[in-house]
Amino acid sequence: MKKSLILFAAIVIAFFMVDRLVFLWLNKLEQTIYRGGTIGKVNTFFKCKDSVDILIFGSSRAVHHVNPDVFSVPAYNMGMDATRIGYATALITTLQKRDQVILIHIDHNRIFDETFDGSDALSLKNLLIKNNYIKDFYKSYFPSELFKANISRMYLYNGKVFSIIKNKFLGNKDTIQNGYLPLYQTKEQKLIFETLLKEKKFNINENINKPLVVNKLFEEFVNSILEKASNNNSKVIFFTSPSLNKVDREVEVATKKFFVKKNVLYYNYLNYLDSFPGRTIYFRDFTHLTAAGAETFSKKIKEDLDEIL
Amino acid sequence: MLFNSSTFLIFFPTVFVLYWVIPKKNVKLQNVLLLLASYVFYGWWDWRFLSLIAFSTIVDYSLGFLIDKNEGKKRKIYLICSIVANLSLLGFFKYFNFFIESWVNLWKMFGYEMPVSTLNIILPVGISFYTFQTMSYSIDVYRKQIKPTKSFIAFATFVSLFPQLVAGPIERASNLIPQLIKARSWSHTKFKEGFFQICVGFFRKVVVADSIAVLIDGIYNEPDIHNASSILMAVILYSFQIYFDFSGYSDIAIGTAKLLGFEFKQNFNLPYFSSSITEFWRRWHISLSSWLRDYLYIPLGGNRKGVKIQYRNLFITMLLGGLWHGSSWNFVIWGAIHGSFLATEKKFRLVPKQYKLVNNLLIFVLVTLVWIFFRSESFADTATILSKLFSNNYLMPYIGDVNKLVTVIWGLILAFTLDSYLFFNKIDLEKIGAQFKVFHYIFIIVFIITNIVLFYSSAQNFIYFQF
Repeated sequence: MKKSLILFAAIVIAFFMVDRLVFLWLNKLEQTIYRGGTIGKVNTFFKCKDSVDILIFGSSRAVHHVNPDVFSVPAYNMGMDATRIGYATALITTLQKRDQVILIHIDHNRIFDETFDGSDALSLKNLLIKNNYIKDFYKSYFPSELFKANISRMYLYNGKVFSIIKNKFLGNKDTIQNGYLPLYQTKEQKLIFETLLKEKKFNINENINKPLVVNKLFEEFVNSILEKASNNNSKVIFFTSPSLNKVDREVEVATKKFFVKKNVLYYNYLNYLDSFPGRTIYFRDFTHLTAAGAETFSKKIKEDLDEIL
Repeated sequence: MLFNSSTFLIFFPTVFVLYWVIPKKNVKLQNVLLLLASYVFYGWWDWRFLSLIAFSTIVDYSLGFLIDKNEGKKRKIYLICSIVANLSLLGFFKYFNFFIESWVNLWKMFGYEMPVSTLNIILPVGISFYTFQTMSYSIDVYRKQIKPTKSFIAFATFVSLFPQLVAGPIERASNLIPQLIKARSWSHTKFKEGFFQICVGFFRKVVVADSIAVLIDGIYNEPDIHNASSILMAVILYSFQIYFDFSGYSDIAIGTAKLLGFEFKQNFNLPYFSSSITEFWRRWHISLSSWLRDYLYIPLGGNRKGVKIQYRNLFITMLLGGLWHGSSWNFVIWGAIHGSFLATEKKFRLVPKQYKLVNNLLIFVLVTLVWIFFRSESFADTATILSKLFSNNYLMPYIGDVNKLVTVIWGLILAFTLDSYLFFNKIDLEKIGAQFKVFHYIFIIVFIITNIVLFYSSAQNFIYFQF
């Protein structure tokens, strides 16, 4: 057994050495990337977060739906595909600038989703040892990640390696874009969508179980956002963008009630495009707008913001 | 408890240290520890179903003695009791709703609505594996191939040993029980082999299989909105997903058992390098295919009663083998198709022997096409997928996450490189770990673990957990 223990110890030592070397290499590459979704956009966010007046957070229904250029003040869309309020909360904790407007996109089914565990925030783990706010966020909600990071530093780059290499060697420009990603439909996608529309495959109350119970972690994240905003004298506005999938009256009322209780503004634009003639031309699929739909919707948000600000 | 979870990464080292701290002469205490650990392992999922494992254990332990003590008709009756008890457990928890729904649908075809409802039955994880394992014990005692085990602890540990409890390999009593009864010594060779196989297993599962799942689940869940290229990509990748998922699990199970001093049988032997369906079934899920051969195909008559009976036996064996996988007509059809292939191969050779590469490719294509039945959510989806594959709608495939695609390609390159090395050098994965010199061993292990840490996908269930 002695021989095996020595071999195992040698493996552990070799692994630690490789781990730190790989981490240092990836960390060095990461710092110079400003394109691509995973690393580049977050780097861009950190460069501009304290110089813009309006920030937009949320999932793909934020990043593809709100064009910050419609606003008359500097704005940045930090929406990210496949993320939810956990991701947004972690980034919001890093804000330093005062008097900002923070727009956060939420979907009804996310509020009442009993399975939501905040794991969308884990995609920011590469910031864990670089940013104290993110580190504090992880300490509160994902303490085991800190433990894992102490064992393996390169773990922080899990799932990001190819993205880093690709964006590094594809020619990287230090450009600060507005973060918005418009969606366009190919001919094939349009055909498929029209077929599905004919079959009327809309969903109502998708992934919403009754009785409606607000997810505890979701509520904690909302509280955390409101606290940060209050400290910075910033204004928080939650909103839901248009969709062909709907929720029933009970869900709409419960959602509004939740935000009223929190004393925070909430705008429900779920049905906003319903009254538009040929409304489906604004949609790329049941839940995402085309560029034309996003432009129309962005103007509406601007109008409503101008009224209240 | 999943192998690819933080809980297991704490559970196993704890059990491992406690196990080897116990003096090797105290086999009984080691077995008690393993038994308790196995029940904790299984109970972590749902403690209520420990009662089923306990029931199966007690029934077959007792019946083993009764079978052995009697002869003739009584001996047979006790065997039948064991088989009925195990198949009843399996039948109720796994197939009750399936049979009810099939019966109702059959009458619906004639316009008659039956007032029968299904029950909300939870499928206990691993039930297909441990019931087959205990049945094989009773049958082997009946056939006088083994004597019943006197030690209840050893037998209970045989049934529930955690490395293979929930997704196999299905171990034979003749292999595992003697190992449980005698003292286990630490072996540096077994350590090298086992640790290497565990690392390879984790790589296959969490890097390759889970990354493929992220890419293709969306396509298989909604085939009607995807074009033929996307479907083709999903179909081919699923072949690799199921192989690396299942073989990865088996590797971790076999490697873990080795670290505890046990030798499990090989469960996968590079099945996609097969040049016939017959060979495929000698290399894929070996513990199940050999179980079906020894306890179903041969008792039915095997190939000893003429060609027609042989075809019938092959067909029935594969049909029931398909049904074993799940309570759905998709699995039955999957098994039936494989049965047809096997029967056909008894008569014809699809491609002349000298065109080996063509043979291998053809077998891979056939197996891949039949996996569609295995993976599809419904008949309608299967029909959609097949019709799209044979359409001319081949445009750009839907990629989704490009990062994931690159991870999949990278993972497949590494995994295929290893499999090719094993195949062309005729080495078993179970043995290769011990063949490396120290420096090479450390380098390869660190390389594998680095790739796991950088590229693993979040924990998804092993595909065979649902069986």
